[in-house]
Amino acid sequence: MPKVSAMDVYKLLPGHNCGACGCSTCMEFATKLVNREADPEDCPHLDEDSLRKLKELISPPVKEVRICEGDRSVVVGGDEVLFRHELTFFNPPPVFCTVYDDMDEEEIASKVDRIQSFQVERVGEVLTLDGVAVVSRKGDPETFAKAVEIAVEGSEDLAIALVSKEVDVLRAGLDVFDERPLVYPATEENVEPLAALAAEHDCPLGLHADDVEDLIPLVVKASEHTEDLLLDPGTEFGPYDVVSTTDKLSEIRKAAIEEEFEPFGYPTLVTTFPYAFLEDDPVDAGMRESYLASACVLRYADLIIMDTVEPWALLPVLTQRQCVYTDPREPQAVEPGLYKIGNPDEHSPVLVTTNFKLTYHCVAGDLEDGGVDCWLLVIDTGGLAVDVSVAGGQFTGEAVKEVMEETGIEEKVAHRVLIIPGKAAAVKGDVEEATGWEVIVGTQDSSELPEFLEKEGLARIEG
Amino acid sequence: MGGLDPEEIIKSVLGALEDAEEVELRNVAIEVEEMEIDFRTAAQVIPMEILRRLGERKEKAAPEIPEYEPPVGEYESEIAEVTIGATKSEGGTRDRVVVLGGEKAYFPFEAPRPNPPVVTFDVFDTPDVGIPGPIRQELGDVVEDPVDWARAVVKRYGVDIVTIHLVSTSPKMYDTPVEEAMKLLEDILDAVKVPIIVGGSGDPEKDVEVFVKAAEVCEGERVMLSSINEDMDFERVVEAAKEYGHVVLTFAPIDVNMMKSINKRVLNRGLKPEDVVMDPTTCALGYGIEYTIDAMTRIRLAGLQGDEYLRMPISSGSTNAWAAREAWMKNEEWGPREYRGPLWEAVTATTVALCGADLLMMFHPWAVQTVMEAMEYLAEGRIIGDARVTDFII
Repeated sequence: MPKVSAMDVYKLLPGHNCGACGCSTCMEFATKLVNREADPEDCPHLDEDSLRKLKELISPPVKEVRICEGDRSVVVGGDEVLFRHELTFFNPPPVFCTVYDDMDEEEIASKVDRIQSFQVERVGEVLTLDGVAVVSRKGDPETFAKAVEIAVEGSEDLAIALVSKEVDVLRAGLDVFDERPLVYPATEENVEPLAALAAEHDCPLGLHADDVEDLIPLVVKASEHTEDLLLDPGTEFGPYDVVSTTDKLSEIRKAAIEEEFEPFGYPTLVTTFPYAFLEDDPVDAGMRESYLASACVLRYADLIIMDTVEPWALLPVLTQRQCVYTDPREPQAVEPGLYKIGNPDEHSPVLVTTNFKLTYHCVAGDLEDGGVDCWLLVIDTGGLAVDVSVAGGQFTGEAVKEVMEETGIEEKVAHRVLIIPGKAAAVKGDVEEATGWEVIVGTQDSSELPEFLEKEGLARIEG
Repeated sequence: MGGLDPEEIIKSVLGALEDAEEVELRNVAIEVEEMEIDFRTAAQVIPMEILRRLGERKEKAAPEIPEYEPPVGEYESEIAEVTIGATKSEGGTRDRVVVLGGEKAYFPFEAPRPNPPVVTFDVFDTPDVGIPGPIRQELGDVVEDPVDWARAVVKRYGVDIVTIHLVSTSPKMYDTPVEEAMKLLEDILDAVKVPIIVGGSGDPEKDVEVFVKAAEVCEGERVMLSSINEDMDFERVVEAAKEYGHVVLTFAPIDVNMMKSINKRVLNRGLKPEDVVMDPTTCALGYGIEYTIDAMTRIRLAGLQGDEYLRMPISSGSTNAWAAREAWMKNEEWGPREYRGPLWEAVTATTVALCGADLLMMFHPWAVQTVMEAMEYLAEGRIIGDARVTDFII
């Protein structure tokens, strides 16, 4: 649970219960503030001092850092628990992909275009990439500035990271684009000038060290100039990459949250792109990047810089992000009930599925794509998938009967046939007994449903 | 320090230093016109050092590096160690055993795992279980014969333990008689010398018959019976496991309380934590893995905090990754499934392993090998390699 209690927050509120913040009582507002569902500024009665105290009290142990402005802006960090079941994780880690200043100008432009236009739809959500990292490989300010220019011109809403160890090179990049790009990597050798440069341009700064403890002096030095920092404890490459890198990230995050060790109270940064140079085969590189980045999404990576833009490699990472950053306080369920797919009538088939959000979206999407007209009966399994709810006893004949009665399906169709998922075959008898309808076991996967209905003569059922 | 007599302060400081060998002053600024220090018992070097440092502070306050201790937690308990398999000296015929569990902490940096998570290769007693295309392609014809299949995975991929899933025994499948399934089990015990996990078909009635008989047939070999749950007559399986010295896998559908409930009943019937492994359900990446992440994390933390009914090793059916259509479905937009599939399985397995899983049931060769190699480091500890990101940036 969050460390600060609603009572602690309540003590700082005026106690008028005026309702101006949208909550009926100050206690309700306090609870929302603790759960990060409200903004302290929503209370109109707080003077400057109280507001500052309140913000301090509820500020998360991991600072939130904003990269870029406007449409390009992404916010990273902001977590306050070590495990998602204790509250939720905030700000899904943005994925940046690299371009290098030793690439041809056309090559840079084409990769930036792939990063900008990347999108895959999952569970009613469009997964996209978040930024482009321009990496200096030549150390030449002019070449770097040109690459930055192409990256900025070729993208609309991507955040920008400027990646070089040289102050002159970074300065040239900032001359082209200075709307708060991420500047990285500041190391033991260059931290003073880079921190000064970042402060001068009001940019977030990524620190890099070889291990966790080595970051501490860097944070101390850099924070003399700026508080907008990201921590890279050194991504590892090799068979030990996943375990070693996630272990470092875990140590940093545990120190920040449980020990309130301030130098580690910043978002973290992971780089998998060096695999593009370390592996000879681009497929091997993509596999390794994908595997490592997916594990780091689980374990406290707040920003990831990758090389690959292959959908097969990015899909596991973006899916893992979608899952890990789902808010466990909100059930992943749709409303149970009767849903129309296409234009169903009294002869259209009735299909049964569960109210797990993902299951519903998969089934409904497949039926729509297949041009099927049918009734989709969504039963209440408490937001569990078909196989899990069959094993767990939520997918039962009673549950099907209940939603049938509530929706009055028997008045909408002339037949008495239910089609249940292939993964629910075990409850066929139970559903038949509870509902008195004929039960047909459908396919293992809903993508096979349109063909199945057609082949089995179930697309139209005469009553 | 305004308001106090500087001389008094210095005197009291030096008084306090009588037994000190070295003194470091932090965040101290002393402003005086003239300072006289009376050296008494403190060695001369001490005040000299104080003065030198005071001088430095006046020039520029160098930022202070805070002290750091890695945040190693205190845990009440340890996870039980469960051994599967028995060698000749232990009354069996296996050439090795695998040991699961024994964790003393949640994160590797707090304490490396005494036993790294173990990968077991899935073998099915019939190829008609919908083996995904990319896996069939990798494994080849061996999937036609479970004995060949078991032999091949030990030989080709070097796994330390094999799971034979007797899925065809299900009345909903081929209803293979128990005797026939036992014959296969004996052939597999002969064909491979690594420890064996005996998997059922998921039919609550038939599985009891299969497990009870398997316990007898595998006497001395210390197999794991996979799995039992509260919807079956699991007591009979527990009794058989006790009689013939086997391990049982308890199953619950992503629910910590249900996991605890079955374990409690199994332990109360006389099995020890060293005889029990638990499976809180593995949902595939993208298909509810977050529920598994939470359930496993809570179970492992509870076990480490001393919950007697949850301090056993955790098993994961990571093969469930293939329930995700992103793993097996042909889709141009997603790229080749030959890459997606193994990644999906490897990411699912590694995610649950990092959350606490000790045994990973898997079946794509690339995923098996990648994960096996990675898991070793959970026991070995963090490695700082030669390749650094800064080598690739100028």
